[in-house]
Amino acid sequence: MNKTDDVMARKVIAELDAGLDKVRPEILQQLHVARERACAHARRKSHAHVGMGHSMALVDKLRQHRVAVLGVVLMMLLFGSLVMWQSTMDEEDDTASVDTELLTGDLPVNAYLDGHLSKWVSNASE
Amino acid sequence: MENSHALGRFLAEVERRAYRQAAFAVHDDQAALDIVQDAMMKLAEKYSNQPPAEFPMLFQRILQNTIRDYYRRQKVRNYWVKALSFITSGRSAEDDDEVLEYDQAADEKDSPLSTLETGKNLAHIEAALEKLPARQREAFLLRYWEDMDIAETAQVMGCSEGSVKTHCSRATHALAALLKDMKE
Repeated sequence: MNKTDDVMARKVIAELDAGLDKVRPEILQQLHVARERACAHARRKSHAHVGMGHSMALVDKLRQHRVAVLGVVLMMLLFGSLVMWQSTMDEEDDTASVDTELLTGDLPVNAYLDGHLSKWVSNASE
Repeated sequence: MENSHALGRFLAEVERRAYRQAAFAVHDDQAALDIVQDAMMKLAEKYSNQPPAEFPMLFQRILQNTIRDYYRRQKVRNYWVKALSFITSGRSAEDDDEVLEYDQAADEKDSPLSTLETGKNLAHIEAALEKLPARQREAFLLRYWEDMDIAETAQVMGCSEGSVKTHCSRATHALAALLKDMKE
C-alpha cells in the first residue's frame, strides 16, 4: 500500500471516529445494558470458579498435563499386571514344590488320596 | 473480579466501533445491536479469564464470526422465503428478487443510518463503506479502525497476510473511487 492510500485510509478513519460521538443515545443505552450484562456474567463465572476451588484447578492441571497423566496411568497398569503375573508364577512354583515333595516322600501318593492318611496319623500318634 | 472490570473497560472502549462495524456489514441497526450483544456475551462467557491484552483480538474474532453467522442465517432464511413464496403465490423468483430489493431499499431509507445528522463527509464515507465487498470492508476496518497489524488482521479474518494486503489495497482504492463519485 502506498503512502497516498495510507493517508486516505487515515482520513476515512478520522471521519469515522468523529462519527462515533453521533451514535444515537438509545443505541448507546442498549450497548451500555449489553455491556453490563456481559460484565455481570463474567463476575458470576469468576465467583463460580472460586466456589469450585481446588477441584477445578486440579481438573485444569490434569487437562494441561494429560500426556503425563496418561503415561502415569499406563505405567501403573503395566506395574499392576507385572505384579499379578509374578504372583501367578509364585503359585505355580508352590504347586510344583508340593508335587515334588509328595512324589519323593516316604509315603505313597495313594496314602493321601484314599482317606487312610488321617487314620495312619492318629494311630502313629497313639 | 479484576478481569470483569478490565472486561468492562475494554467493552466500553470498543462497543461503539463494534456496533458501527456490524451496522456497515448487515445494514440493519437492530441486527447490529444483537450481533454486538452476542459477541459481548460470548467474550464474557468463554474468555473473561484470559489476560485483558488478548481481549481485542478475541473480541474481533468473535464479532466477525457472529456477523458471518448472521449472513448464513439470512441466506438460509431468504432461500426458504423465496421457495415458500414461489410455492404459495406461483410467482417467479425474479419477481421475488424485485420485492426483496424494494424492501431492502425501504429499510435503508427508514434506517437511522440515513437520518444520522452527521457531516456530509461522514455520510458519504458510511455509504461507501456499506457498498464495499464484505471481506474488503472487514480488512479495512480491522487494519485501520481497530489499528491491528497485518498479522493480527489475518488471524482474525482467517486468511493469509497477502490476502489482507490485497483486501486493504482494494478497499482503499474502491473507497477513493466511491467518494469521488459521490462528491461529483
